[in-house]
Amino acid sequence: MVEYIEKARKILDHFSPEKGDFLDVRFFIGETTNIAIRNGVADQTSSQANIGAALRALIGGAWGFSTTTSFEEGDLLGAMKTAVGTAKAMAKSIGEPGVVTEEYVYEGNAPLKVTSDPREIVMEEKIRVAVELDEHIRGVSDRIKVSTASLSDTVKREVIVNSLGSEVDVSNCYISVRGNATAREGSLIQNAGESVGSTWGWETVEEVDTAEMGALVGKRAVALLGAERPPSGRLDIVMDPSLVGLFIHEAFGHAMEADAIQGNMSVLKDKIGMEVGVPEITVIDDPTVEGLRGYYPYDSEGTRTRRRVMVEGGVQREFYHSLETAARMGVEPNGAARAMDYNWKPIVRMGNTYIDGGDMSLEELCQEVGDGVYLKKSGGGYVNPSIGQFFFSTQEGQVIKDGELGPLTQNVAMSGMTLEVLANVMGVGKESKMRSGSCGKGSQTAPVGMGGPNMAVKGVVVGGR
Amino acid sequence: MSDILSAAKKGVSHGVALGGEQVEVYVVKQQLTRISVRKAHVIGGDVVEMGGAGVRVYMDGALGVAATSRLGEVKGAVERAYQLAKGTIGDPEFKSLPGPSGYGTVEGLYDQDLANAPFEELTEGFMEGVTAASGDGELTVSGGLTRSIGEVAVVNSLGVECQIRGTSIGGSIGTKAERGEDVAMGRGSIIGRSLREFNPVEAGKEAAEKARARLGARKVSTGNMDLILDFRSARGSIAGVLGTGVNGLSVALGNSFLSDNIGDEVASPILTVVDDPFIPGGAGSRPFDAEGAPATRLKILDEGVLKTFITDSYSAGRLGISNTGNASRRGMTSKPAPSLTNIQVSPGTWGLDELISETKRGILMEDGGLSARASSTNISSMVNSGHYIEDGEVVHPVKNTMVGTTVFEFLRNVEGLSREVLLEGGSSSPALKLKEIKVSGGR
Repeated sequence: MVEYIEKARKILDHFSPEKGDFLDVRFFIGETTNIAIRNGVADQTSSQANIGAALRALIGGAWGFSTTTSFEEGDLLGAMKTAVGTAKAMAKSIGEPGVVTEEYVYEGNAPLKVTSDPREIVMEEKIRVAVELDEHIRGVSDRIKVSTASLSDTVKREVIVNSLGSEVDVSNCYISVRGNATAREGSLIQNAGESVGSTWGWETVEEVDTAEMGALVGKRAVALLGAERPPSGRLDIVMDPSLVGLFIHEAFGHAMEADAIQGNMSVLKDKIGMEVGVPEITVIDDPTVEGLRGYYPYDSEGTRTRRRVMVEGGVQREFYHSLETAARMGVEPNGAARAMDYNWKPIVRMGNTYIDGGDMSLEELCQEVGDGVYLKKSGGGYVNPSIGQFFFSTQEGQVIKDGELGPLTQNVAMSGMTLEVLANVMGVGKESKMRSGSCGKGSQTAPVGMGGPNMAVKGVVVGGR
Repeated sequence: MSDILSAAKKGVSHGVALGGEQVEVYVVKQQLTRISVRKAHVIGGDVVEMGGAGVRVYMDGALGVAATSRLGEVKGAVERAYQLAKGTIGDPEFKSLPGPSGYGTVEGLYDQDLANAPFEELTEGFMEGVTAASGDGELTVSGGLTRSIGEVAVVNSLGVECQIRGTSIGGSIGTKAERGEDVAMGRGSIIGRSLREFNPVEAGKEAAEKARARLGARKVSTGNMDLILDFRSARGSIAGVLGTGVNGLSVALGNSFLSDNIGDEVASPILTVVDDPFIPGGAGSRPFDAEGAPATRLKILDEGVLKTFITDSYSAGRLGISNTGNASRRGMTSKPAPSLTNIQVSPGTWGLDELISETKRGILMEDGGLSARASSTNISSMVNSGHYIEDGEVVHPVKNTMVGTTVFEFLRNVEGLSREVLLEGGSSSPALKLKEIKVSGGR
């Protein structure tokens, strides 16, 4: 740790920032391996070393950013000069000047906390697990045309040093296991997938029952071949925990990011202290829960993270902040600035976002709905936080008839207005479940956790085929 | 010799010396200049050096891949890839990486004026676009611009040795119009490879016009109606649906919906689609693909009849057909896979206004498209921006509206194409009308 911090300090010592100016150096060292076995053969066996440094300068209210893959002092200094020069060149075109408050300085060292470091697991073992999972998927039926089992592990380390005095060294591990099946009958093609992810070590993989996961994925893909077409129109629905997670992350979470708020690109602007949903809704984002995929003890600006109560009893309490957005709003930073790697600046992101559990069982939620549809296994999604309009698709659904769960349907899609959904919640299920995800924003992806309980909502537009 | 070609060649030699049966090194070096704008003002700028090397080593059909962000560490990556290839499971369907070949010429990939344009000049130009987008200041404007100067080299142990440099300028200007609680968004795009194509003011004006025109969006009721896709939506939908169906890898794996259909009429007879990597200055233009195989111009649909799949070396070898040179890479460690370059959709006989005036009840979809997913034949998309049409007139913008169809219906139900086409980023497409599609609305 000392070596990197000293290196960064040497670079920062070359500059004499004026009051209000800010510089930081972030070293990034990432190692990733990926295994993918498809239909019994290795589609991918890869290893990637992603190493570089990111340098930022806030000079005269404008930001400059530069990168280098070299950790040599001369190259780092050259990159910082580029960042400073760029900021100066931009300063004449800015509107509201960028700000960072001097009072928030962080020191910390968070080494890797895993029982079994994936870098020490031999490749043969990783391949063996993937082969096993792939076989279990394909073993379900000869109607499964493509089975894929993937394993991915990344260990990354960030060392962040800034001109205010922050010095943070943080490491993290991301593991995921995925199974996917494509089933076909004539011209009909259906797909199902499952994944497990964590920020624990290889122990995550050891806990996966490949036979169980493979059978689950394979059976779901085959079952979808015989599934009904989903109903469409304006319907009352129950969303499963995976879809509630996607909804709260995509439709609501992105609208709570302070860069969107300050850029006048969010429907939640000016909503702090105001009702944004029914009183049964409490939204938490907690990046400090070890093991969940959105766990990170310090963000990419070095800010220590904490549990964030975003919405409490239907009332908006907080937004997600970087050092800059917090300074603009006059609040303490809450550790939401994350960067994908050294090629990108930290931007405002989520961690582990979920809706807190309520008091209803799935049966009670279906009774409440009466006639509608149960949307299960979230697929992709799209959201426009400015308008508050979203679209999500699910892998499958189940018809709800007279308050009872009925036949399986093919993929269902839903679209709606974020604030209408939170105002039209009919009931919140008991048990909140988390799942792993990858969030995309501004060309960067970030590992996140998302979840919630089952949730019933009135009058949502449902469609799809 | 450039440093990237030299690094690639040294890497291949090292891989062969280790005992690699087939070795490929792919090197990218890129400088990105980015400008970010929020609320109509610059926030800051980036100058980023990106790139690295991706190595593939094959041993008895088994593939090891390694990548590094540091060009000085290609040798280490070759050694890792070699070790991985020795330890993994072979693919009996793998035939060979491409061999050496001659390449066609593509004009307009690199523009010295764009490469030389100072940061300040790009910023000033972009801000003129931002000003044009903000109207009298009543619209909220955000956006970003990226200028890229880069080079790529591909070398393999079979004798492929190629290198190319290119420039590009891309960005978007987004606008938000507000009238009380009513909010609407517009967007204008900048896409090109030369400074001549840097048209921020046009993009800004388009963003402003679209946001204003989308105020007053209303929900529609659920039902079957016609769907008109504007130029960009038609281009995106055809590239998405067809690109998924003709993908040689999907065909080889048996999960393409067009697997057994060469020579069949799979689409409306008014649809003719060509993929052309030789369009001067096109975004997808290139003389060779990501594996160094020569790019080719392909007629994919001829009056609705499927003529060819698109392949890379793996899928071509597996299907026993020729390599069309359509390999592309998503990242340094990702295996290349086939994808389209610049699609050219032949125009039709209708005016866009006639497509609308002949519609009894329908939706005009803008700046979006219907997206197909590999391994599913269903399509569900939101109408992110669109207008409701009744009795031949555009009545009002829509919100909270979805369309659902299948890839088969989409291709077969095209009943009209516009005479006008949009030429953008090397692709060309008319507007398109689909008959009777399922629309789910919030009313």
